[in-house]
Amino acid sequence: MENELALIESFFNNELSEPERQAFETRCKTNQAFAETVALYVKTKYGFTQLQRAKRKAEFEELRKKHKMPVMATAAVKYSIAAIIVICITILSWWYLSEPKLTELADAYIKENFSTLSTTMSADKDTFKKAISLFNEGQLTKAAAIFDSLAEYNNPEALKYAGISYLRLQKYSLALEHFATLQKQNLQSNPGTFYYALTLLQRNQNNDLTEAKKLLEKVRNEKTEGWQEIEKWSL
Amino acid sequence: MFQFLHNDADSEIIEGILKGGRERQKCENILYEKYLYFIKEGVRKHQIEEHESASVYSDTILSVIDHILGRRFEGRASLKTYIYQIFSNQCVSLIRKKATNRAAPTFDTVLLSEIMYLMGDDTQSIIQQIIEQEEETTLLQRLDAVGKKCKELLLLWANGYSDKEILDMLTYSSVDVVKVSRMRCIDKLRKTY
Repeated sequence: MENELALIESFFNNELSEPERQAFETRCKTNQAFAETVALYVKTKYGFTQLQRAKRKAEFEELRKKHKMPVMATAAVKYSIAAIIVICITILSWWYLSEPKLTELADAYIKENFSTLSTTMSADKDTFKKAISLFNEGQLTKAAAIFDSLAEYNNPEALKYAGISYLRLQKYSLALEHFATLQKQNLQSNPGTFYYALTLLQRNQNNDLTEAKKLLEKVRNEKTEGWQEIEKWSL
Repeated sequence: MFQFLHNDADSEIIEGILKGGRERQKCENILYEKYLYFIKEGVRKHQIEEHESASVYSDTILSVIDHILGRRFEGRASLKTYIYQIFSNQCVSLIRKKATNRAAPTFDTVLLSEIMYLMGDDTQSIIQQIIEQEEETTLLQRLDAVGKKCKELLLLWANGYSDKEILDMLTYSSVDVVKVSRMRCIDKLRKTY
């Protein structure tokens, strides 16, 4: 039985030669017991795929609910939104005057601050130290994988470094996801929003620039980590 | 392989899914969230209910993930175009199904065909006939009762994880043990008939 299943698996993994494939199909047509074993294999794969799909669909539905916006906005809400937009445009007007400069400033900041990581920070754990060394040696993919696994335990520094590694690797979606998680951490000094904005400026697609400007304005107003840098930029 | 891709974001998601493990799940979620607005498009363009459109969209993303894992997505179009095409087709299928008021087939024939895509049509038909001798709900109950360890192992396998990846996730001693255990679990299912 196990040998038969191994053969069936080889067929479905496309590991058989053409004559072997033909022999397999002929056997399905002429040998009822073998065809039933093939059907069992297919049914097992089908059934567990369905069970897994149902689980993933439920998870996707949860994600969708998080994104869902209210369908109807009242007139008051609409006017408030319009007023906020006008205020934002006024407040942010100075950013618009310096658009090309902003991406260049972000680029320079990343080059200056994210080229190497300090080993004196968080170097208490061997794995962390190893990941920092790999990062500094330019082995960013390996470093990112280690930081990522450490970030699983909600280690804020691992989250930050994983995000920085993905930013350097130009894997912007992953960098944004890590910085978004970092933003939610309750820290005394949290660079999450600032780094999220830097990543958007680096990616610079569609509405990234506008979104980044809003976030930088927020960092500056709330005086969270990175605000002094932004003050310097506006000079 | 993905030389025709239109943008870097696509290849980032694809690489993440192919990488497996935690990054795979993250990238699957990113992919799902990226084109969520298709759901509204389905409601507007095909006049279906929002929950129906959301369900079709989830099925579409799960199919696309399977295509990426099975290397059947070749990157000749962008992911957005590819997803939209499948989503539109599935919306149309749903409308047809509703219009003809047909009861849903016992088995998802699209998924069965995807699993058996390497087989000739006549062989597929023979295997499908044997499969359809049992109700899908009975099959799922049977699989659900296979035992915790087997269920865990077979779920990962059906989800496209390789034996090596399963070895990293579960407590088996080698890739060979993963494979043999999987075969034994399928054999255990056979004995329930």
